[in-house]
Amino acid sequence: MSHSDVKVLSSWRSLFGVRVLIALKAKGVEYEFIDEPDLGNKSKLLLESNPVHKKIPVLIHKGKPICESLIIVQYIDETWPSQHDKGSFLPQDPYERALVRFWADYVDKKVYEGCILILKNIEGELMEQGRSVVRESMVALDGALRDVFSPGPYFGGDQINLVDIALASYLCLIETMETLGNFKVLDESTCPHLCAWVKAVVQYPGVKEGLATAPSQKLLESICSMRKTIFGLTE
Amino acid sequence: MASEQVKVVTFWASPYGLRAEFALTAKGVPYQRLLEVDHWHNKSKILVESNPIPVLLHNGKPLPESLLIIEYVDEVWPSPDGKHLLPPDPYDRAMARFWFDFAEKKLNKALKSILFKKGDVQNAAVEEALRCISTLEGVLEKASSSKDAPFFGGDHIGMVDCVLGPFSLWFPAYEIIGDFKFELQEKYPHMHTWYQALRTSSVAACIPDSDKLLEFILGLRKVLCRE
Repeated sequence: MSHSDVKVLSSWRSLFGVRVLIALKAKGVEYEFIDEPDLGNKSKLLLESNPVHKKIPVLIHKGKPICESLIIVQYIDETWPSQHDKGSFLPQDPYERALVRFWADYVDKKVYEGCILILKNIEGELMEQGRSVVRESMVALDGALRDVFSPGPYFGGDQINLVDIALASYLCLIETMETLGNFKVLDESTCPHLCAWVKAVVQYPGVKEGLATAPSQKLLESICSMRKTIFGLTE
Repeated sequence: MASEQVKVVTFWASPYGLRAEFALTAKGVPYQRLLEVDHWHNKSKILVESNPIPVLLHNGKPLPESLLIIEYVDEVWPSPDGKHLLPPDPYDRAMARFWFDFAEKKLNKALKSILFKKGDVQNAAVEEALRCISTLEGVLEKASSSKDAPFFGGDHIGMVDCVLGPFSLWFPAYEIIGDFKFELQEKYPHMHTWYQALRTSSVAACIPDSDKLLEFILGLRKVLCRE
């Protein structure tokens, strides 16, 4: 299958886009990256591919667009076989699949909620709320690794699953959250399993390459710049 | 599979609980309803917002969250005559997932605002809800829906129908609370056909009495407006 059959419309800054890249790389699927550099001035391709939400990332496979990062990741999982003797991003058993979907959805709601509060605010009540939500979600996810997805090290056991992909994308943002929020996102004493997970997942084939597309320091600089120009925040 | 092994913990008026019941009924799975007591009235807004139903109990294993339950039901039980809740083709599945995600995150969010809010915020929610209906009308139109294939699942109930259907039962109440009309028959004929088809399909048996439901929702609105 030629890689031009598979296109990813996204921006290097998009963590949701990173999820799609991780999934494609983990499956060994070649793709063409189409940059959407200015979300204030959206391209015709984006507006046509995602007329409902007008958001990135969009996967375009043989001309057909698929939107929403976790929907895209599931599509990738169902369309391409896995590599390196690894299984799919979702287990076979329906109950276990439901648990994986539950926790992937939790990442999308809770971790996202905390992140956005930190990114869009200066020090104050909302920032404190953001820190609190992030800390709580890390503890909850640590508990899930320990109780629901043991023995690990990944949420998928000895391979990554949908939860790993959903959460791994946020690793690019840790430096930003810790700098802006002036706190430690992952505490070894409260989240030992998650800390071990981080060490393992950043080396996982596909994850390593996907995370490398959104370098931490570069993302921090970009977000600080956006905070001034878009949100009008002064540090 | 014996029916006593499948139970749904729900509340008679809950549209989330009804999603689970629609899914089970569409798949022809016998189940037992375990009804929660009505503790919504005279209680606080927080309780209303955090009501943790439905829960599916299958062979004793609990599964919360209506959307998870629908997919689970589709994966566990065979589909009569190949009538899956989610289509087998990966692209079609991705599309179905997109639309139930849209129904949940966009339309449902707007409908909740109509219920919970007042004034300008409520008016904006009404406009957003109608925009969503218009979008969904477009989806049905593009799929060439007809009286023989009126559902988002085509000629049978699919996941999008299970997600959206129960909330459509609240439309008459939203019209009163938000002081507007959906005008499905006049403006959104495919959605109108869909709305009618649900009420004569297999899932109609799950649908609560419309007068009782209206009374309940208007009572709920009073509770929410007190705070």
